[in-house]
Amino acid sequence: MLKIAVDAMGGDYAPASEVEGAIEAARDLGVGILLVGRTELIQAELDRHRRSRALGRTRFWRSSNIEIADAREVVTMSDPVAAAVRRKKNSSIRVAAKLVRDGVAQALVSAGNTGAVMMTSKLVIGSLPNVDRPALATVLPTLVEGHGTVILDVGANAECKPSHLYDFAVMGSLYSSVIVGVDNPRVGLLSIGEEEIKGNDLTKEAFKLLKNSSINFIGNVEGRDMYTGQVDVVVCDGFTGNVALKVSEGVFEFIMLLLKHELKASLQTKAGAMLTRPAFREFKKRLDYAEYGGAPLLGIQGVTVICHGRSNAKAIRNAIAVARDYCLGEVNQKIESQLGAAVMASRDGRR
Amino acid sequence: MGRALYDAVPAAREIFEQADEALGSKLSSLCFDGPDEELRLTANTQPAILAASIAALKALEQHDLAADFVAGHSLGEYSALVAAGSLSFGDAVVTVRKRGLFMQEAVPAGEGAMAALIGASPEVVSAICLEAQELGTCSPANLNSPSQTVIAGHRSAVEKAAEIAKKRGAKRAVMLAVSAPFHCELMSPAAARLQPVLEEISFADLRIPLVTNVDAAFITSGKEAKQSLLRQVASPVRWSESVRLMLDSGVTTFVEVGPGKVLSGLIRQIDRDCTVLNVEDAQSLDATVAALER
Repeated sequence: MLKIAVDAMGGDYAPASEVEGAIEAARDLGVGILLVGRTELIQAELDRHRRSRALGRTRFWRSSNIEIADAREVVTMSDPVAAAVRRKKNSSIRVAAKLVRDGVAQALVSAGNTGAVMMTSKLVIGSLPNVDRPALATVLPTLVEGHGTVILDVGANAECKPSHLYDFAVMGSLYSSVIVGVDNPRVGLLSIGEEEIKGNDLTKEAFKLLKNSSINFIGNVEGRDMYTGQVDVVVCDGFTGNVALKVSEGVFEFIMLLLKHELKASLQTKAGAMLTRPAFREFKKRLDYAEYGGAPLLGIQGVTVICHGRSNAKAIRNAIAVARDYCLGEVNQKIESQLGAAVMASRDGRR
Repeated sequence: MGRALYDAVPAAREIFEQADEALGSKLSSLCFDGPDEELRLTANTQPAILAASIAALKALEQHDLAADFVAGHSLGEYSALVAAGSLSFGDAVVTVRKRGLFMQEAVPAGEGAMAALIGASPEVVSAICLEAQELGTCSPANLNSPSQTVIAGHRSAVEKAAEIAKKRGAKRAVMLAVSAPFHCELMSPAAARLQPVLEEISFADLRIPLVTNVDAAFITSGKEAKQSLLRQVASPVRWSESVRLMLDSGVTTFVEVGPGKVLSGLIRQIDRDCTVLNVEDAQSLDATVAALER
């Protein structure tokens, strides 16, 4: 059985969200879970669920699918990344990464300090050959159903060089074709105008690299293009990507609240709301970040899925699902295979 | 690339120093500190990979571990010949710089292309290339594994082949970011220019047999080694068959020497049961030595 190491101490609501998400995943997804962190805290949460199960509030789960791996230290959201990675040798993130490196678990899921998770993954698990900077990728919903847009980097690398954006474009293209199933994905560079001269030094230099590559590069795209389905891979530095993603989430939550407010305004709209409820539920499902769970870190030898700090149980469960699909889809093997052919051929001369 | 071994192993350091001396430029600092853009220049790509590979080889040789056979993929055939004692590193690094330039200049920029076809057998790929040839040259260039073949030729023909491959159920067809169509007949001018360069160099007979890219056969004489390097420029790299030949000759352990683990991945695709190790930095060196001494 596929075993997934979940950093139980990572998120804002740890370990409650992590434990509940893990229970749901172990029940629904056919995977084994290794909860990594302070045993006593995790055990207390598990016991709480067991008790409420006795009261009939939670459905049955086989506890044998959930194990605990003890890690004493916790990396907090405010810890400086480099110091946390270097000093906290027994942190839940590091212990979980080691479990993946040693083959005990096949994937790592964490809602912890993104920088620390990314750096620890890179150091302990290792990056794929020829990947300088692993990047966080997420798939945005678009109007074209089943045809999401991959955006990367959404937070692993705040500072990037043009060559990093080029690598992101390569990995994003592969991810789009392997996981989303897009043939010859269209790659756009996130900027502030369509013309080549628009943007900052980073995007202008990256534009040149991409224009002269074999990537299916369609030029600059703007923030508003992210959800149109007119571009399959959006490339940007991690700072910009993270801002873009968080703004999207904020707008979504704002619209949901506004709608709720307006729909409750009168009896008439309330009746209408009742009738349109299924449509709204579907709407929410397609846009809710928790449905997407977590973002895989592309370019790592193993599988690392990073979640929002404020992940709830549903987000953790779905992040575990992302990790499972990533393992079962043999994404790394496919990326390696494609990069492999590219690497060997390009040793004679790169364009 | 190569920094860790440069720092840790004196013999590896000597290799980078030799490269700097032979080329008359600071290849070492380019390898360690970049900039990437300059490292990607044709004049530097091949020497840099060769130097990093031989540095790794020297680090491995410190441990008195001897190989029974050698083989190298394309440019790697030069490393393999250095490892087999046929070619000196100094000659090799100067030659591959020229090789890179000749290969790039053989075809005007943009006219040629290469594509990786994944999930189609070499036989299917050959048939597809024949069909695409109505638009120009198109042929298998790297027969990497039973399910991965890279093709090369005129751009339009290669694009056509990629299109046909997808229709025939290949899992992926990816155009590659290369500066020219390597290992196809369009490279003949490069071979012609490389010949006098190779003639100037002395090739000793090999200490251990090498499996050639062009014929996927063992050779041991210096004369054959020179011919092999000349012919491989415009011929396909028969990697999958080369690995198969070594497996059939009783090889159970492969060590990939040099940057990256691409060949390790390919070898695993060819045979799941053999042991595959690699040496690219201090960490992988330790792991490989530990595994081999066990």
